[in-house]
Amino acid sequence: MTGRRSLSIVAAVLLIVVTPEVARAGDWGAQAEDDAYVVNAFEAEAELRRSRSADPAITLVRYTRAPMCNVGTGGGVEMGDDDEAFGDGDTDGDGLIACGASNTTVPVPVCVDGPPLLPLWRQERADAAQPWPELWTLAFGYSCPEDAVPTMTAADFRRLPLAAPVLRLQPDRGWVLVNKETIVMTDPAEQTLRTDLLGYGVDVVATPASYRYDFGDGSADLVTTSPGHAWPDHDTFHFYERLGTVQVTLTTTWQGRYRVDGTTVWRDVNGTATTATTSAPFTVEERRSRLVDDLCTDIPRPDDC
Amino acid sequence: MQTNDVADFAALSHPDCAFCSSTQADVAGQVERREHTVGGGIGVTAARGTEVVPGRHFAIYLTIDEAPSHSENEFGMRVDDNPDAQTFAVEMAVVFDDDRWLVRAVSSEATSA
Repeated sequence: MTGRRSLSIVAAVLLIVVTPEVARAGDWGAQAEDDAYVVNAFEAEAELRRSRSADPAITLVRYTRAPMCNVGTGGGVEMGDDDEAFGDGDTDGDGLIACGASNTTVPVPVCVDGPPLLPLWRQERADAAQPWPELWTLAFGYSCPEDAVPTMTAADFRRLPLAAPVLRLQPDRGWVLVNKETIVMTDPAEQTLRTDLLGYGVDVVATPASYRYDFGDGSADLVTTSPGHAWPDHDTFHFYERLGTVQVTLTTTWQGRYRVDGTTVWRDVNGTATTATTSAPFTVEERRSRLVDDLCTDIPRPDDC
Repeated sequence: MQTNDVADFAALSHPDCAFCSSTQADVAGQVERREHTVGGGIGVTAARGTEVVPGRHFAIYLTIDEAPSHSENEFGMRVDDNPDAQTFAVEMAVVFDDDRWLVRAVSSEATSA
């Protein structure tokens, strides 16, 4: 597929996407945001890496990074070198390489992890027997080193082996009293994980964002951001109104942030993951008060004394 | 938003496009509330793009102008009002995936209120 044909297809796609009947900007600005810049920057760097691993004798596409003429980046290689041929690198060792056609509409970002990566340029040829043409086409503009790394999607995040947090009950003795507070709580600790994303090492920190308790008696779930506290400071509890045997299920919703090796920037995962914890079965019981002769601790009779 | 029909929009949305799923969820909510949008036409005033990976990935940059709009319920009463036109600078990632072109990511910045 030629670049011109591809571009026309994408243009048609975009015309449909921005058709007024589908979306309006009042909603546009209110929608969840992707980080399209990061997606594009990573794909540019990945394509450069792929091309470098190809056999130069037979490849039909090759890339180079080079500055745009008359564009200053505030650091690194700038402004080009008249002594060099575009795409040939720094052959005279003066720290400068040739620049490509200037396009002042391409912004230069302010980066965290060093000077911006130079724009990516591409050459194509029809077959390996032909020489490379003189023309270099801009594939992607300036980008930041911290952006030229993979994006962790919600699906990636959900694949991580997040440990379900502990679910604690109070009282925790195998039975609770009907119409009395049964307290639930959990541990709000973050989890740090290590994973691999498209060949890049990634640190991930998962933080509990909210908790949903299903008390197993058909009542409405309790949804809270509090991990709960023990009696008498308890703020997450439930009154069982019927006798029976129940289990409590805690569903924890996790937010994530991640940092790709070689960068210092932490990014939020666009999406959440959940874990589930279920208690052991316990009974909801009724106790009636009665007068006894002595302390139950001394004479534990009858059985429910 | 005007027709509450997202069939074409959904067909162009990549599963990982948060903007796309958010928009579809908004429309679903609007349908559930029996509301619809009036106005809000979008005009693309500038568009450029680069082919990041031949035949696989485009970076697209748009400037869009959006007319004022409001939402009405099933009785024709206004329930939401966006009286001001807005301009957005939009960056998109468009990818060829599963034998079709899909919008992978959209980010935007309001450049005027």
